[in-house]
Amino acid sequence: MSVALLTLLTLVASGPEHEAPPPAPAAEAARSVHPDVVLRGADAQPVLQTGAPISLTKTCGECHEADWIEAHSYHSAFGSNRPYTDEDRPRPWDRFAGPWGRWSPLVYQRLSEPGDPRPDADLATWARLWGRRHVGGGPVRELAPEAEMNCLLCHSAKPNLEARARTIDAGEWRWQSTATLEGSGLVEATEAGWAYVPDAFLPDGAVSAARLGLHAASAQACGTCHGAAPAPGPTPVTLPHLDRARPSPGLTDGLVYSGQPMHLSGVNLAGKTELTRPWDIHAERMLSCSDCHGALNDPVHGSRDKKEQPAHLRAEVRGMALQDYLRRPDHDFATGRAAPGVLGAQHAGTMKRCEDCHDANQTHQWLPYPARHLQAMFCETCHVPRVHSPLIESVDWTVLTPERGPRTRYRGVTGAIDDPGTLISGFEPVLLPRATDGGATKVAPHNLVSAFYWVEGDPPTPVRLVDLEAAFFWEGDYTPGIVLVLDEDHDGRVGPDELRLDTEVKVAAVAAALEAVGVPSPRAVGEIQPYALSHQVAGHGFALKDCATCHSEGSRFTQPTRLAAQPPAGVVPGLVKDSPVPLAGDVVHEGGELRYVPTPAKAQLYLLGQGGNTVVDLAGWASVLLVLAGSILHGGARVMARRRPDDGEDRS
Amino acid sequence: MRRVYLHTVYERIWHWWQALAIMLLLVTGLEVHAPHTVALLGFRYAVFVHNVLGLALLLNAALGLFYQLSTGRIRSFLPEPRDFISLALRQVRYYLRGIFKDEPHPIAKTPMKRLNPLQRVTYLAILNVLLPLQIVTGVLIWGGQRWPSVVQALGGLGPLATIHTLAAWLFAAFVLMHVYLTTTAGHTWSAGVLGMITGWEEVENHQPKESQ
Repeated sequence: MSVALLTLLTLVASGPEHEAPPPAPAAEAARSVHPDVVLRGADAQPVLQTGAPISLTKTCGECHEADWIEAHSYHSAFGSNRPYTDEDRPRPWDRFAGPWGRWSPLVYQRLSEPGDPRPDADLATWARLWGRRHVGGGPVRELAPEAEMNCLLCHSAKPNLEARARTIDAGEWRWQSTATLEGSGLVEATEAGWAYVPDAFLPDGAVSAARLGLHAASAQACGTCHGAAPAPGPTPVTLPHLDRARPSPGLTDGLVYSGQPMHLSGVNLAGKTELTRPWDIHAERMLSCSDCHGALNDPVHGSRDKKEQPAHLRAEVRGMALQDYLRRPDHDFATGRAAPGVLGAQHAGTMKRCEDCHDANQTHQWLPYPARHLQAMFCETCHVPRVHSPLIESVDWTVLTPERGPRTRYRGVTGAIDDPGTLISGFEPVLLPRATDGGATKVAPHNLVSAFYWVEGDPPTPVRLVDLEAAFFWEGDYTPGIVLVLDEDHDGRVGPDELRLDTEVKVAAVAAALEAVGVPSPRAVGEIQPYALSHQVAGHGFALKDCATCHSEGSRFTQPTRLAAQPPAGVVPGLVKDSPVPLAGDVVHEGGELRYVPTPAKAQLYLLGQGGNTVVDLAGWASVLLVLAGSILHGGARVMARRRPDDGEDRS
Repeated sequence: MRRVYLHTVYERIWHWWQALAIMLLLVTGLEVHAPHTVALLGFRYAVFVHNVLGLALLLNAALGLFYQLSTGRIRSFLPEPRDFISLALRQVRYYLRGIFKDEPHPIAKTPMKRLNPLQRVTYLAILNVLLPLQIVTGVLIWGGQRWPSVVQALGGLGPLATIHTLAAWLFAAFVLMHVYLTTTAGHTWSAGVLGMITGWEEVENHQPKESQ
């Protein structure tokens, strides 16, 4: 049946040619097996006739159950269907387990509840903030019923994200799907609004799937929001996700997914000529994101939720029929356990892990103690040896930059991250213990992002950006009070290096400034959020192989990692409450910096080659030296005794 | 002085095999334990060689035990309860006073009584406590990947490795002490070492009254 349907779809796609004045891209035409589509409005009438905004719920809903799909998509719900209880909320002001309602210091604004006496972001503000990274549907339908899930974002060849963002920023959610097609030749922006171009439609009023470039979601679609996943090809890879204004997840977890060798990329990498490995070995081997993070009911990849699989079966082959899957493809995608407890966490452990495809025992017999290594470490520990893209190190909202943003520091770079000339030296991950699907614990590479910010009141809430701005700025410049406190070189201005609260006096001064603008009981706090580093996977040629990397005094298991260069005085951040991994070490102040100093024993690890137990070694040295000293003294005394005048006695 | 055949060929081979294995185990063990202090083989090969040497030590210990049991020469290692305290004190007195006055050894050596009371106690501890402890912890560390549940039941690799390391330090101290005391065993500084090479040692002619 599945084959028949595919054949039918292929025949439809390769059917008689229609006249379409603006030609569809040939490459996309070759890729798509999707039938032609009639673009419909919310009233189910063809928009070519009515001029109404496109409703993908009605358009795609002709064959796919769009409402069901939207209801089974955590990208759409954004966590709005997973309210926190009082016990599991990570922060007192977090409401939902997802970007909807879970506050992030990287974004800062807090979605306020109705009746909040000091509201921060309302729904409209939140939608503008997140809209360009939200697929639509879910909570934003509350804002506008037409704010539907936008299928074109992931399933069309070249969605116009900027045009869509403009309509969202303008609050015109109902046009967001239409705007996504700008550039396809089907629609154009006019002074009167969006207009359809009849010549681009087929004679029967439909649109060819080739023109839309309809296809299964590609890695490039995922990369739009999650990092950098450029299309395969000779064009040198760049890192477009390095946007300081809107931090991408790729800035926390290093997602760069490309099969292009690093040394051929357009990124200014340290030691670039030596980096002949691809950005990610899986991309080079033609894998796409959905191969590991597939739909839970995908009959091909079988990314079934293992919790629903009978325990006695190693594989459940009774998958959904293809035509049923195409009607109801689950858009809750398989996830691992590495995400920081937010989107898709309810499906943790469903994604394909390395061991689902690779038999490490077959390929790691060269490794001493292979079973022990594989028992103690996730594959990524050696196969993500270094992240070659900038990562956020710390975000400090206790001060505001002249651009009204936080002071942000990045790992692995020596300049501005969005300057193509900046040298990217990369970052050696922090190794933290993480639970496996089986309940054991292994170490895996992570990035630690520390954040500092002000909270107010009781129960606490983050100080609103508007209040921070009022405390720091007056008519476009820092207030005289702020300048007085922070201007250490007395040049009358606050330079970038002076923008820090490294003394109790400065902290108290800013707290006073906040109180002066009406912020109740402001105090600086901090938190640490670990992010798993599971991409930029290296093949065997570039994976860690040198024993000394871990089994030496300079082991990466024991090396301190900077959490913040100049943290606010008196603030020691703790791990975010719902962190999927614990810290296995100490957070210490050293040399003005805040550092994480790992201790393998806290991760239930004993690593040969790190000098072991200091007390035992001291006792050992003491015993050896004691024996040596005793021998020297005793032997010396014997020599001295022999040199005394002989008493003449013959003892032979 | 008279020449006495104290050490059989097998005993000498056993001794030097054991000595070589222990010395190399200490060196490779130090490289595994703290690679930044010794860098001879590299960590990977140091682990491999250490394991092979450990196996050699284990085999030698097992063969030695079989030999000592089957020939009955194991009795020479067992402290004799009778007069043990007084003989041990005489040996202590010899080390503290007599040796400086060039007095004869308080206990005459014979093929079946080659060891003084202090040696017997020491070897009893080394061969029955320290060596087995070292072998067992070493095997468990090596076998940790094969029998992880056993290792976990014993507290994990950490405690095992700590015991193994402590025992290694004690072995190092013992080796130093053993080498030095060997210089006190014969009538010259090197007589003890030569005795373990040739099997023959020259012992005093006169019979001290304490000797048996």
